[in-house]
Amino acid sequence: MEKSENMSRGDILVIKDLRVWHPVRKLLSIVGYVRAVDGVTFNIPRGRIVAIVGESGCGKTTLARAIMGLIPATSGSIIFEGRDLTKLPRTIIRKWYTGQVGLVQQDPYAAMPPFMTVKGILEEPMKIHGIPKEERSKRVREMLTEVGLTPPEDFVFKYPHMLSGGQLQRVAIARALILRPKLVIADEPVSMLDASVRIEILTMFRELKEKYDLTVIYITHDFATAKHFSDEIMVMYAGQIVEIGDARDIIKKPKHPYTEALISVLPDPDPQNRFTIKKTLPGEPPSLINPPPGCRLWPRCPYVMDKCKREEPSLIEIQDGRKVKCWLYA
Amino acid sequence: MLRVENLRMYYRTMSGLVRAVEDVNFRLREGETIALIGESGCGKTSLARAVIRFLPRNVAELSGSVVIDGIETIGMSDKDFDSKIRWRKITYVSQAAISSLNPVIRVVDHMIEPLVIHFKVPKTDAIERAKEIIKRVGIPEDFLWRYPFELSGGMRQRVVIAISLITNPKIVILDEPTSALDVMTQANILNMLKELRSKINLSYIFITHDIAVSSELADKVAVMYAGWIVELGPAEKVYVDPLHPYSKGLLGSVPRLRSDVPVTFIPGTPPSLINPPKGCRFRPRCRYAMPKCEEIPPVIKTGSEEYVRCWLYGEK
Repeated sequence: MEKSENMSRGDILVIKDLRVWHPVRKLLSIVGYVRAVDGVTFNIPRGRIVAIVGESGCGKTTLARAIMGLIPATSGSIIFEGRDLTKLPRTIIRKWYTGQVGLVQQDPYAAMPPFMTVKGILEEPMKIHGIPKEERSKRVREMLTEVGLTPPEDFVFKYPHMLSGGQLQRVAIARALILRPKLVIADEPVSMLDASVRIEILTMFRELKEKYDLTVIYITHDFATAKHFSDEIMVMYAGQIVEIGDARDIIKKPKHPYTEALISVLPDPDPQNRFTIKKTLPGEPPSLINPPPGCRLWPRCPYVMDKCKREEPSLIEIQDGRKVKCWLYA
Repeated sequence: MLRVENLRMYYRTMSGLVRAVEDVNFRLREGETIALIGESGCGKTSLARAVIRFLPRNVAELSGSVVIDGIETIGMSDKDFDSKIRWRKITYVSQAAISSLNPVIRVVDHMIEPLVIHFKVPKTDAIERAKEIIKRVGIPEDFLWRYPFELSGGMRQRVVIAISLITNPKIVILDEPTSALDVMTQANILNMLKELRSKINLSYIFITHDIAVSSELADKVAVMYAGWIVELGPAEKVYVDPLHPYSKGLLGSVPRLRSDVPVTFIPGTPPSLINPPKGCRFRPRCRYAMPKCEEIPPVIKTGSEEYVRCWLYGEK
C-alpha cells in the first residue's frame, strides 16, 4: 500500500519524522542525547538534485549518514524505493541497498585509502558486489573517462597522493557511480576546491546525473552553488528542516527568518559591500543536547513572539512547493 | 604606507626552483585595503610572507624593494627587521593562527606576549592594553581570563585579530581570516574588521580565495595567477569590469545569489611554477591566446592606478 503510494508520486526517497540521537555517556550510564537530527520529514522526487543547506553542526552530515545506512535511526522511517530501511535486516542493506546509493565525501584525501591505486579503489565496491573481473576493468575505464580523467591508462595505477584535489574528487565521484546507483549523496563534494575547479566538477556532476538518470542529494553550506546546481533547497537549522522550496525562488524570496538572515549576509562580488555593515543574528546556534523549547531559532529571531517560546511550529506548505517551519506563516 | 616594487621570491626544492612570486608591484595607503585573490598555489601567501619576512628556509632568492612606512626592508638584517618593523609597523594573522592558540594558556597571556617580549612593557600595563583591545574586537573583558578551548571558532578568530592589534601596527596582513568559519560568524568578523578600520585607520592586506568575500573589504584588488599579479585596480573596476582574461574567468566562476548569470569555469589547471610556460603564464588556458603571447607580457597601465599584464592591452 505504502509502496504504491510513494511510487505514484515519483519519490525515490521518503523520510518520515526521522530522529538520530547520539547518546552522551558518562561512565556506564547515558546522561543525555545530542539530537543531531530531530524530527525531519521530506521526500526526494526521482531525477532531481536536492540541496540540503545549513551551517556546521546543524545535522546535515548526520542526516546523510543515516540515509546511507551508516548510522542507525533512533526513530522514524527512511523509505527508499518503497522499502523501509529501518526495518530491513543488515544483510539486505549490505547486499542490495549499498549498490543503490553512492556517497561522495567532503575530503577526498581522507576518503581514499592512501595505499591503494585508483584501480583498486574503484574495483573494491565491484568486488564486494561480485562483479566479474573483465566487467570490472571495463567499468573502471569507462568511469574514469566519464569523470574526465583521460586517458584512463594514465590514472589507473596512480596513488591518491599523486593526484590533485580536483582529480581526486573526480575519482571519488567515479567510485560513487561505479555500481550504477540510483541515488547519490554528495556531502560537501567541492568545498575544499578552488572556485573554478568547483564549478567544473559541479557542472560535470550535473551532466553525469542526466546521463545516468540519477537523483542527487547535495549537502552543502554554500547557498550560491546550491542555487546554481540544484532544483530544490532544504534549509536545516539545529537538527531540523526549517524551509523547503524551489532553489531560485527560495534565494529570491526567503520566508523563514533564518534563511532570510543567512542569505542577507552572503555577499556577491560587489564593490559596494565594503561600505555596509551587515545585519547578523545575535548569538550562536543552540546546543543540540538541550535545545530551547518551542521554535529552536527563537532566542536569535528578530520576529520572536510569545508563542514561539512555548510551542514548536510545524513545517507547513504556504504556497506551491514552499514549506516553512515558522509561526509567522501558521 | 607600503610600497612593493619588482618583488621576487623563489624557493629551492628537490625538483627545481619554484618561481612563487615574480615581479610584483603594488602600493597601499594608510587606511586602505588591498585584496589578493587567486586560486590556491598562485602565490598569495608567499607574497604576504615575503612582505613580513616570515620565510621558510628554502628561499633561494628574495629581491626587489619593500618599503614599509618609509623604510626599505629588503636587505635589512633579521634583527633590525624584528626590532623596527615586525609588530611595530606590520603584523600577520596567518591562516593557521586560529588553531595555533595554545588551549591551556589563558587568552590574556597570549595577548600580552608580544608586548612583554618585544617591547619590554611591564605586565600590568600590558594587561590594561589587552583589556582595551579585546573590547575593540567585540569580546567582553572577562574573557581575558578564559582558555582558548572554552571559546567558539568565531571568538578565537577575534582573539587572534586582537593579538595582531595589540602593538598598534599600521598594516595587518589577514590571510584567509574567515575561511574556516560559518556564514554568520564570517559576517560578524567582517563587520568587526570594517569598524576597526574606520576607527583606527588601519591598512589591511586581505588574502582570500573567496572572491565574493574579498569584496567585503577591498578598496583595491590584485588578481594573482602563477606568481604574477595579472591585474591590479580599484574594486569598482575589477569586480565590475575586469580586463585580464584570467580575472574574467575567475569572476565568471563565482555563482551569484542576486542575479541569474550562468556560472562558467576556466578549463585546465594552473601551471607548475618550477617550469612555467614560455611567455604569458596564462597562455595555455587563455581563450584569447595569440602568437605574441609566447613573449612575456609587459605590465600595462590602463588607468591612474590600474594595471594589467596582458598583450591584449599592449602595443598593437
